[in-house]
Amino acid sequence: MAKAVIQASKVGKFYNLSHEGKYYDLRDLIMDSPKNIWERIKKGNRRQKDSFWALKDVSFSVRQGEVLGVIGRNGAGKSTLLKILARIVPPTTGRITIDGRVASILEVGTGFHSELTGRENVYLSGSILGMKRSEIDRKFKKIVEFSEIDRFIDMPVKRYSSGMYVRLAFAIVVHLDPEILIIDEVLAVGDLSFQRKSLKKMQSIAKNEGRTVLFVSHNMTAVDSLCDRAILLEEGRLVAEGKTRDVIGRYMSDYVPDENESTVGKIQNRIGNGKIRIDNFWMENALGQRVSQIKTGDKCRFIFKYFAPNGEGQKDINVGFGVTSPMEQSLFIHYMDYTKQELAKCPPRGKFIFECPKLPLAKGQYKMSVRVTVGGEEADFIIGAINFNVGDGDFYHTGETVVQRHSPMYVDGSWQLEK
Amino acid sequence: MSRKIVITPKKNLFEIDWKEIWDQRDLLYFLTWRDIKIRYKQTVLGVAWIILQPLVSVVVFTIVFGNFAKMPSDNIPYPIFVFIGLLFWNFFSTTLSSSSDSLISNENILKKVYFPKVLAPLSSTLAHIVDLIPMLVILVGMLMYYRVTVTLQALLLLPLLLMMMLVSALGVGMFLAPINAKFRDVRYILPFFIQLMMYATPVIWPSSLFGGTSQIIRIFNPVAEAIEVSRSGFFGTRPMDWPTLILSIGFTGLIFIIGFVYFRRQEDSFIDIL
Repeated sequence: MAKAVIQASKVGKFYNLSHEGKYYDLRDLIMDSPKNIWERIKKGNRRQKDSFWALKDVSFSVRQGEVLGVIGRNGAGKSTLLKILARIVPPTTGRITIDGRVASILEVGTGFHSELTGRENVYLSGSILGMKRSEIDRKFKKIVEFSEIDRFIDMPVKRYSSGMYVRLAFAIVVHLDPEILIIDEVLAVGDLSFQRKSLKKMQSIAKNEGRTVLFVSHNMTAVDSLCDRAILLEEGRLVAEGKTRDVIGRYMSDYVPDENESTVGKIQNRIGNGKIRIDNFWMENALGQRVSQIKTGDKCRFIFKYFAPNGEGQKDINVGFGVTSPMEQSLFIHYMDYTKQELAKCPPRGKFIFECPKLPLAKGQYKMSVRVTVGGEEADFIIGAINFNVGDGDFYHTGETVVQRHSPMYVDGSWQLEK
Repeated sequence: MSRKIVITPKKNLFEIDWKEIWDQRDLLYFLTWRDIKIRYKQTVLGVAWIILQPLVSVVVFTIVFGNFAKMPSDNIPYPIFVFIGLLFWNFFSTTLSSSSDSLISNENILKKVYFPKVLAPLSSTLAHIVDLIPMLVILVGMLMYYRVTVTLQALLLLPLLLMMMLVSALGVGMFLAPINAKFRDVRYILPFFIQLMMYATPVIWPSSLFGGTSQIIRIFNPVAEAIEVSRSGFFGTRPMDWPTLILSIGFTGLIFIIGFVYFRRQEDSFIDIL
């Protein structure tokens, strides 16, 4: 059996939000500190809320020539793991040994400068990605050929179309010659035919040239066709490891059953600047179990899982949702600021949780809209695209289920007689 | 040929992987070359601007301080007196502001790929050496115009003094770069302080103005020392003060070491902030 070229043991990454995500102004530091001290006294130590483990106790090893897939949902810690392996950020705990020349591709066009020509960018980006000058000289012709932009190579890349830009950038990547290649979701760019060409090239790099590859993707088909083995991350922990098929199977079975789960992140019908995106929604019952249906009158929680696409914490967050009937008649709306619970800041990923002590909805299907504002500006607004079900329940705690047919809402109250 | 990399949370501050930095010399070259290229591409006037800017300053300072304010200049013609000051000062200040800005300007690369982070301030600094070429051409022109007999010693000292500027600017820059990444308003405050520092440095006034105290200024302000040494060197106004020069070089080295150590201490944490 081939020797292990990557060995990670108990790798953890801790983010403390007061230091992470957002840079400050010196002015903030000076002006804010008395306020912060006061808040701390008022609310107690909030450290717990402001910090989290993006990765915890992750151990695995990769053998020479192996292609390992890293899968998991948004915010599961895949990118953090990759950044640690690429030595961009240091781990908080643990130890990793890598034996061999590493190239990490976390974005397409690393180091490209729009003012420079294609030729200049090949040299610049190539050297940033770890190639020697002589190596670039040698491969230059092949890179240009692969990119199919030979005529425009001496034109500043700012005049390139986005397709040309991506092709040139990717051409550099596939001509890197590392022993270990770490790739983040970069195949999902460019037009379809170029994507296919890139995937094929990746396949040949992995299979024929005997490289060790770490491959992160949401594209299960790509993972399946490229990787021998895969690991599955969930909330920063490694939860499954093994043959790609099995791990993908586990990933699918864990996450797909809930209809909203797989669809919320993909909903296109949304507006907002995208500083925060809701990528998942589910409901929990009073016991905190995930359920596909809540009963009328039950205590329940609506969980809105979110992430900040730029990976940074955000400030001034207000989240709200509205429920409508299937006919789009508005039933109720609830925003954080109604109960003075807007968030001063939030980590780059997490869950917004709305707790309802007594669900006032009658049996039936409902639609939900969610809206998040960051700093008063619309960040994400998903309109009526989330569906959920309510079942019959004992709203009035009388031991009987009251079925009302003419209104979707129940209201608490009591009757008495006065003379 | 493969190398074993060990990634752990803590690292030794003084254990510097020189081999790694050396291996990345091609990258240093391309980063420097990029900075030069971009700078000259983005200014409309390009090279002309680099020449014009100090010349305009010389004219303005000569009129304001030389003619109106009658600033003493150790009997050196004021235009060349102030030009020597500006030569060093501009080199120092532009290098300082680029290197202290280097982490932010290289932010998108530092976030996406690993390389020894010290290459960022280093390349930004080296890119300014090119700016010296037009300045030195003007200097030669002025020396010829004023018929100054240049001694070999003054000529040999010039590269050393410029090197001092580079090293001290890089040292301060490495110290400020992580702070700049963390507190984004520093980049607005810094130009103002650099401006103020010019008046605390004998650019438009002679260091002899302060008599004996000037020696202390010169030790702790390498720019002041460089200007003084080259003015008196070219014009022979004062005998060479070797002890002060050596102390000033020593202090420059100290600035560099402090900056470098601080940079190394911070270099892991600022990636989380960028």
